[in-house]
Amino acid sequence: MKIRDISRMAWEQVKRRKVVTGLCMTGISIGCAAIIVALSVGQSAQVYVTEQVNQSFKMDEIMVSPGGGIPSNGKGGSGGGGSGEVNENLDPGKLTDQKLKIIQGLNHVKAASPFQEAGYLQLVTIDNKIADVRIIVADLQMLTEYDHKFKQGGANGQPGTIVLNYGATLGLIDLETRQKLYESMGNDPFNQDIQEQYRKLSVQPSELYRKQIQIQAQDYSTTTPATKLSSPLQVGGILEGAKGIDDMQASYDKIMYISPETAAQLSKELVFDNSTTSVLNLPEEGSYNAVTVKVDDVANIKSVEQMIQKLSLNAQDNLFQQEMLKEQFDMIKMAALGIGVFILIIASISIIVAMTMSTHQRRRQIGIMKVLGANMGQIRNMFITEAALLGLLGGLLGVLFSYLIVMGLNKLVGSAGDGMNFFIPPMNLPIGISFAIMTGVLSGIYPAISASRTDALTAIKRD
Amino acid sequence: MLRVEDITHSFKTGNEWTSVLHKINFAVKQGEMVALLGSSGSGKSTLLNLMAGLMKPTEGHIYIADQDIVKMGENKLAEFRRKHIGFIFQAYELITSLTVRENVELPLVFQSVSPSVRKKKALALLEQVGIPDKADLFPSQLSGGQQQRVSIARSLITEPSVIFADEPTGNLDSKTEEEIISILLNLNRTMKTTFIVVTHEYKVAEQMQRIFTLRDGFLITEQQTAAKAGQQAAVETEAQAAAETEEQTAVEAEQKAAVETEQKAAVETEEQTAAGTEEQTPAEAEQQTPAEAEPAEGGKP
Repeated sequence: MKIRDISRMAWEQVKRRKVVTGLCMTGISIGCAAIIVALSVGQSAQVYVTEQVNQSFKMDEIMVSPGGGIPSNGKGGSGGGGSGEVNENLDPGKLTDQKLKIIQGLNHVKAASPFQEAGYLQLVTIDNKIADVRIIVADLQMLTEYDHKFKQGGANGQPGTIVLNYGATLGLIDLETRQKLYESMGNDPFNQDIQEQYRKLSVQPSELYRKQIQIQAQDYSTTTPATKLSSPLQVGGILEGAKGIDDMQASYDKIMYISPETAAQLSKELVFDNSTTSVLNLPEEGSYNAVTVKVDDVANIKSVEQMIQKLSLNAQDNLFQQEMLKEQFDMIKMAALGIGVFILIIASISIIVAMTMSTHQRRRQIGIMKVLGANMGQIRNMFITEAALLGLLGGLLGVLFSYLIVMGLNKLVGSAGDGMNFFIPPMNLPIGISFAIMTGVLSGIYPAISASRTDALTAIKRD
Repeated sequence: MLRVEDITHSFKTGNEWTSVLHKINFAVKQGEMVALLGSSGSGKSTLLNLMAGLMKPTEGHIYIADQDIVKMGENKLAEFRRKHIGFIFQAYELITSLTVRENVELPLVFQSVSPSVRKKKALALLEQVGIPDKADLFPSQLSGGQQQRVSIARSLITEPSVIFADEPTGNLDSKTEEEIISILLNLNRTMKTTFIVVTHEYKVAEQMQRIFTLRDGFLITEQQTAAKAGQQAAVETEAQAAAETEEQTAVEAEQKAAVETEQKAAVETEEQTAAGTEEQTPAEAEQQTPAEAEPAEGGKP
């Protein structure tokens, strides 16, 4: 019996037996939609969380530091410390300019540039608003190579210009207001109005682009804290905020990017009389305490990392974050799949019942076919094909349902104000449909065997 | 073509065995059309089902095209039925979801014959049974007679060795019955297909070439019908007529001679009476003449 004939006969039956078809399709479509939605929700959540993690931990970047660990302002070990007695021959773990050039020349390396943490200082605007910022010394023109986008301005490379991240433009409060607010919060920590006022001020934006700011350093070593202000610096650019991060979160991470030249200038300016060291934590010239390497593909991270380690340097990637997430989401996906399969099993019971009922109703037809020469295999195949067809139709309906469900979820989440977006990865559709067909076939086996064993004579006998 | 040897069939009801057929033996030649005649419960349908391989006999053998179908397994039997057996049901048994043409094609579907070949054959057979214009209709749109014609076309499509017809006119009025029997007779004559027709009506059975009469599971008579006798009967009738004419002539001659003898004797008697001598009476003389003719052979039973 040709597949075409079996399929056509199965299709005729599916069309003809609308109640059975409807029952079976409903059952299968629910199961199929459950699988597709469950997998999709799991994957959507994974993408969402990965994006969130990527804001802080970029998966395609390697953080390189001197082999002996990050130095403490030029003192001892492998750091880029200022002791002239330590040279590269004696300290093979030192992160030198020469090593940086080697790293930049490695295969799969898109960019390698120093991003040196120089400590926390206060940013002071002309109108006397202040904020604590993290100072990072970097080649400002390299910022875009590391996926940073400018919201305003850019990196012009002129000495005395700085770049701020989006968070640094939020929550700048004048000193007096800040002190009053802190005092009020200290006196009445559970006052909701004060809390709300603090929250509002924390995310209040300030227009800083092309404005002049100063850096203020404080010396806490003396009994009366002394402060020093830098010469004015111009805000040459403001970076875009990270996607999916709200203003409150952004306001917690305030960063000021300065060029090495500006850093050197600030280092000279912000030295207290009673101290021999700068308030900026900088390595000696020609060496670095941190370099960030951008690799062309996450898949090449490990190989590049190994090559960097051969230069007696520390290299750390963020893949462990991904692996940790993957483990968690694999568990979520398995659980979701389990739920979907469970629903399909329940649905399959309805198919078995409907198909068995259908088999019983068609006993006479089966009997006639057997008298006309159909063998057990042919009868069985006809019923299994019919069940598979029901599975396919149920699967297609399930795809439709799953899109409706995901649309509903997006509306629900959208109305809740969350930035998460649910989507159905295309790969989930064939998975869902395959499960639906498999359920149809498995559920159809018993009725098909039962049909094929029908005694022809008993079936055609009329009472 | 078909040989039934010592077929016995019983079935168990509770703890008791009921015998349905007892040592049935007969054979049907290729191209023959025979009737299994019997009243309800005589075992004729059981015998038909056994011959069609739908049941297994308790004992005995059934050979169709020299193959013992009793020994075949279910799938082998299905294959055998597909190739060698056609079936016409009393209630037509068409599949309502398929069109007339698709119903006729159905046995070929199980043989994996290509759709174009199936269609061509089905249309030719529908033409042969007189309903070429009904090919695309559904069985529910046809009359009983038309449905039976579809059933006949379906039974013929595989060109089987033998067609079993179970009360093929049982659901039809007398006019349609005649038409259907006429179609079957015509197909038997033109296609030389062997037909075994189960019926309880003598008027249907008598149109077949031979009748096997069953009563209470026994094959009680096997007789040739007028149809089978056909030409043979006609030849025999002519011969008998000729013999009768000859005999009649002889009788007449004898009677004439007897009359003459009588007259002569009367004269002689008169002469003898006159002379006092007693002779044999004319009645006694008549009894000795070969006046009784034997009945003719053949004809209707």
